[in-house]
Amino acid sequence: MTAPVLEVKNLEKYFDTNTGWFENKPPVKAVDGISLTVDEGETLALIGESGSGKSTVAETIINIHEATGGLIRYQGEDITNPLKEQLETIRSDIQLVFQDPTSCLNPRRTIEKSLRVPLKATGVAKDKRNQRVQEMLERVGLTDEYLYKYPHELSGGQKQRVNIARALAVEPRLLLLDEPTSALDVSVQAKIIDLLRDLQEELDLTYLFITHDLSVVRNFADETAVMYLGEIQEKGPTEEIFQSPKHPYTRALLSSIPVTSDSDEEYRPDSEPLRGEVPSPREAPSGCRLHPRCPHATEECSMQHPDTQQVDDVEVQCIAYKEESEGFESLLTATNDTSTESQ
Amino acid sequence: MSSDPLLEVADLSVGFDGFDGYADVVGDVDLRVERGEIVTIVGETGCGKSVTTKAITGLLEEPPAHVDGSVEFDGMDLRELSEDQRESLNGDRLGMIFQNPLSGLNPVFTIGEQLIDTAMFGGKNDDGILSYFRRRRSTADRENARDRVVKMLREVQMPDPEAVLDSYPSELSGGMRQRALIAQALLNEPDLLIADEPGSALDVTVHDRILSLLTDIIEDRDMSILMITHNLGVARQVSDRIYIMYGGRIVETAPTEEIFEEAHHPYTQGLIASIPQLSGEEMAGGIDGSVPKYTDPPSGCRFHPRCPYADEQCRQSPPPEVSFGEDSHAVCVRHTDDGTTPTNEKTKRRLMKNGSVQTGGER
Repeated sequence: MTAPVLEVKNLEKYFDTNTGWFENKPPVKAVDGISLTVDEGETLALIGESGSGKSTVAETIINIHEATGGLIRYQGEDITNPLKEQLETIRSDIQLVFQDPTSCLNPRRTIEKSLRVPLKATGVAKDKRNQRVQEMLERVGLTDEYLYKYPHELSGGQKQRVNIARALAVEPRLLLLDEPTSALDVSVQAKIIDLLRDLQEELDLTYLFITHDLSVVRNFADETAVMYLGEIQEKGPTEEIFQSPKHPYTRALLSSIPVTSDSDEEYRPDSEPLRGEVPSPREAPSGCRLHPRCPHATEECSMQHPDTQQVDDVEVQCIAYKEESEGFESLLTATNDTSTESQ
Repeated sequence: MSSDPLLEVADLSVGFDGFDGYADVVGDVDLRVERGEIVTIVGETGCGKSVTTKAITGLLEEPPAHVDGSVEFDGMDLRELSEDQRESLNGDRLGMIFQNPLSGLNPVFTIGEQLIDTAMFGGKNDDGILSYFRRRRSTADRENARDRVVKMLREVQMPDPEAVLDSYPSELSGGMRQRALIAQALLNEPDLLIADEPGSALDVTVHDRILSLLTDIIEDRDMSILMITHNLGVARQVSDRIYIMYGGRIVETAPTEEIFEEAHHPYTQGLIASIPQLSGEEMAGGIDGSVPKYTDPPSGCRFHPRCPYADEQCRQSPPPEVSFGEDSHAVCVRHTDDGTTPTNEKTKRRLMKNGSVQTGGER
């Protein structure tokens, strides 16, 4: 079996917070020991609220930030602290698409100029660039008339298409999509998701899809990982996560989506609202990071860091799953009810 | 009950003078909010939702804005009132929550200073400098106002309200700021609360709690809310009736359940079909094109360039309003002629990819 396209093991990224010479504050643990693998042609969704460290993961993978610890492998090759030559291949094989389509386009460059930059950087011959730019635009469903327009003349959805086209210019294998649709309206979001799906089929791309919106993921991702305060709380096949979410955090996320039909209503676990808000990663809670907000928290949760449990195909990080005790059952009953109804 | 609505907007239109010429943004808007009712206006970005509420509350500067039509609030015509009378209404009987919880609070005053001032002076007219200073210096008044603020902060479930009073907005998290803004809007017990996308800048779990908080408060005190949102799911969760807005026109209105069961306007149907489903049901590929340019709006029905049912008739004449019940109307010609009548199913099928990849994307 071939190596997975992307393999991340116990990745850590700490940010130093000291501003003066004599300070000695603990670092902010933005990403704290996460592991994931993405296979060729698959989509892994990384979900979490703001401040959970999802974007930092993506940025560490392409070496915008240097990893503090852990291992990143791209097609079997260690790229954790890449050499200069390695960096060149990574940067052309892995591309990042950002959330805000407006701020990533230079307002003083026409679309054509913006699209030429990556071609120049990767050394495409001058006489071929024109043709390539047109091909790229066509691929994302834009016509030639957009070549000489400026970003402000385009709508949000069109700008995101241009961004995707630019990311595809260097023919990457792996796309890191950092909330590509969250700044867009639903009618446009559906179009972009459609486009991404087509491109994946056509070009055999692999996606790491970062979002806070669980409902987008349902149709789109093969696997889903739920992140909270720098740690992965639950990870497994998307189907499984939606059918029977196990971790209290996943359940809370699912139950807070405003749905639009009764059939969807059945997929929502009974409301288990979390208390308060995401604490600053500067003061990450002891033990289980969710315990100050978790409706099921016990004293044990604040004392002991939970281990990762394998429940069926899903990895869950929660103390209640340690043994088949009543805690396990009581957490699961509510979910089972809803999932049996919907089948 | 329907004879005496709290807010009734008739034939409202708003336009702006700009460098590109006159922008005809909002037109023919009829809105009604009954007492104790939650009404939402739903539409994409740039559909004129916020402009409509700003016109209702009189926050648009005229000129460059041109507002026309009547806005009746509890029997008074807001457009006829003098500046003074208006000001005493805003913040007292009309509460407002704006979209961005970060910019709604003044960064150089503590939450306490801002809220206590609202409690003391909100809705009080400019009745002379003397009484202003008298009130300003009156410790009894201030204590009283402070108590009210703390009580209100408790009610919006602010953690540790006493400490929050002495903190600056930058020291609070997004959810807490939003709560402070809600508390501020509710302090003088308004009859009508106008909420522009409350909490949608926040995380899903926090957003969800803000919404349930708002609906609880409404139930307790018999207020009404006119809420703006771009999220149909939110509208379904909280509101009694929904207005769907497109291109500055109300294209459909109906009680919430009816909209989701059987929408009549192709735009509403398209929106519903584009929402990703938890059940994993295949969704439609979104609506082609984007919101029209207001300086040069499409002729006839403003939705026709994006509508899967559009024909010559839609391009030429403005669509008629069709009634489907007492509270249910849609503005679409397809329900009056013998052509295909749009339904949720049909629209979804037409919006599915089916090979018709329209180049040009969002235009």
